[in-house]
Amino acid sequence: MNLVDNIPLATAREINKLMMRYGVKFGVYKNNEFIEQLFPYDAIPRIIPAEEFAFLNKGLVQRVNALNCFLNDIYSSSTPKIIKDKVIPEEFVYISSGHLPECNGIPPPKGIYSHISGIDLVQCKGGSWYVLEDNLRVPSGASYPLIARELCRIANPEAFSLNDVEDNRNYSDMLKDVMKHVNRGGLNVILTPGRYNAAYFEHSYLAERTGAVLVIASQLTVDDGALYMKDYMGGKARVGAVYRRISDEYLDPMTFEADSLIGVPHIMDAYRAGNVAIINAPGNGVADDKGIYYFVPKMIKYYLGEEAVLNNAPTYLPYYEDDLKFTLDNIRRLVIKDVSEAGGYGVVFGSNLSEGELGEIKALIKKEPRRFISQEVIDFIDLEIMDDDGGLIPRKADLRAFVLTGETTRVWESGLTRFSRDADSFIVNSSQGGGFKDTWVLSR
Amino acid sequence: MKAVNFQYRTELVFSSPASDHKFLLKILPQDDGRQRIASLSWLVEPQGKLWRVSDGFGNAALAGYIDPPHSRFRFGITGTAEVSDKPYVICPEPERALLYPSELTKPRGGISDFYDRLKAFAPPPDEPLRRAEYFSRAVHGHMNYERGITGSSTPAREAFALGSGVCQDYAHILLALLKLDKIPCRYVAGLASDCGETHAWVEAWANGKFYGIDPTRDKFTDESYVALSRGRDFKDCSVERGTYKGACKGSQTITLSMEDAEVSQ
Repeated sequence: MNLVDNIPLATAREINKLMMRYGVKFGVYKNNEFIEQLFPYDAIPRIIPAEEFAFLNKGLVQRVNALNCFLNDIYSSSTPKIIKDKVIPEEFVYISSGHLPECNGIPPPKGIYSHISGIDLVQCKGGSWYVLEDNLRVPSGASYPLIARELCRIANPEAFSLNDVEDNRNYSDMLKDVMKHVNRGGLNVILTPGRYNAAYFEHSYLAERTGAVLVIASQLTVDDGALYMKDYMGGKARVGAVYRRISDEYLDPMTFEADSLIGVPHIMDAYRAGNVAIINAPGNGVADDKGIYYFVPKMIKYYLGEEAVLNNAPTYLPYYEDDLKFTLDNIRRLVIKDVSEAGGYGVVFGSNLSEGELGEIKALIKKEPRRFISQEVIDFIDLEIMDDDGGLIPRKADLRAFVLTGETTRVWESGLTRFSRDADSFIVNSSQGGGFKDTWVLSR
Repeated sequence: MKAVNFQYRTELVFSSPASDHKFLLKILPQDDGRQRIASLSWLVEPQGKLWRVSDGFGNAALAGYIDPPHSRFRFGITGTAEVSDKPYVICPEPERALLYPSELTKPRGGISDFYDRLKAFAPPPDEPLRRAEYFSRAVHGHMNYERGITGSSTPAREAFALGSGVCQDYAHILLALLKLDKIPCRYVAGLASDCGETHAWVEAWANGKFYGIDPTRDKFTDESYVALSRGRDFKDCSVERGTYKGACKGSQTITLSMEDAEVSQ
């Protein structure tokens, strides 16, 4: 089977043109200026065989269920079980900037914290998969393969009659089901910071697809502990679920950053009173912290009594004496990550550093060991992408799998495959100029 | 046991009218074993919508909004509290999270050196209460009480470097030291007599009890202290938070009176 043959250069160009017309854009800030650029799309899909996906599915469902158990444990008790049983050292939880005691004692509707989880994986050259990070706050990106598939079906319908590909257009139904499951009575809304947000295309697209109302903060108001949407006639309609696309610190100026203009005052009170579901729950940052990542396989064992199906990349915690020594001795071949950064920032490859820079980072690790993790560099696979002339070139690529938790936890049979634009780069983040592919999961 | 009548008021005058004003007032004291609130009433003007809320730290608060333009905003409480002469609240097992610093109470700048110097002369580790008292005295000695130097978001390290500040700065620095010393502790905002405005102090945990220590006055809290809220630092306990349109804050006037009352039977 050679699927690439089904995608001539003309089709690729056609799809990119359609993307431009549909506004499939990604915003970045450069020198304090907001620039919207196309999210470069490569028309050759990543293909995951059915059997392989079944394996990933099992591991991802397990991982997200364990992470939800962890969040329940952390926020429902002042002495979480997993800390009492010494599976995770307490400082990893309480020093994490994602740990928000403001959320203590709030049981989220149906006990779900992470409704939409974006789990980043890579496949290494030997074929095995590794989880690189969990994103449980506001993971973005599902809309891109979703619209790419749609446009591809327009530009090249035969591709889908010739190949047994799982239809990925059910993402909006999955998302709708999640919102319905946790809704406390009233409208579903998607709360966006506005059109200058990097992922505004996604916010509007998902609203359109799920039938949720796309709102900015000033359209929402809290009265007597319940959330309402205001209409232009002065009327108010009750809101039962908010899929918020703004981060915790800006969500409610009465609870978090007092200067936030994009948040909804008192929304945390409505949430605490059980009158509205917030998707994803505030406070999830404690579970997708790069330091906590190390402990996820232990969480799976602890909460579910199962062995982790999916492996973490080999990770060292300089917090532990042995790992600190190992990290300092082997720094040249390791990748160092600052746990307080996200989006591909704060990631340094030891092999790229000069003697002076190595000395600096070593001193920093010694001074603040809790702030860093180090990992073996995984030689992950290249996927072929098409260059401007239709030639094929290899580029590093990862996969963001989307796992949705409502009545059950389900993995979307697709995903966002991101690739680096430079030949020597391992960094695939869209904020760093990477491109994306559709992900085809074969149905047999 | 002593009964205290208290009346606390804040008035904000906006330089131009504010509208769509939403606010959160953490001004509702609660029974905690050391204090019993015998009566309480509150005032918020102009009249808007009000409802009662709680937060992640167990505090009670008033949430509300006022839509029409207004250039003055007044709020406050009046009530009677019966306060124990013991300076502590019983708590067999403190939250482990209270051992770790928040953003405002990180032991940065000169604080950890200060701690290292103090440690050598501190009472023995098996006497955490005496240690806490000792650190409180050290903070009191280092700092100069001066208004207008620091603001509501000044972190401990800055106030420490300045060597000047108000009660919240004293409290933040003491919290930073206690956390370095592995003593669970928390910030308390409340009312104290002869203060003229809201006050802040610290509760340090020792032997099953949270002891109230006031580094600003270098003493344990007594019957004239009424706690309004507890948290990690000033941010969790700010008496008033608000957002509004079309105004900037002009002046703020605070009045507080506290006097002994007859104990109700």
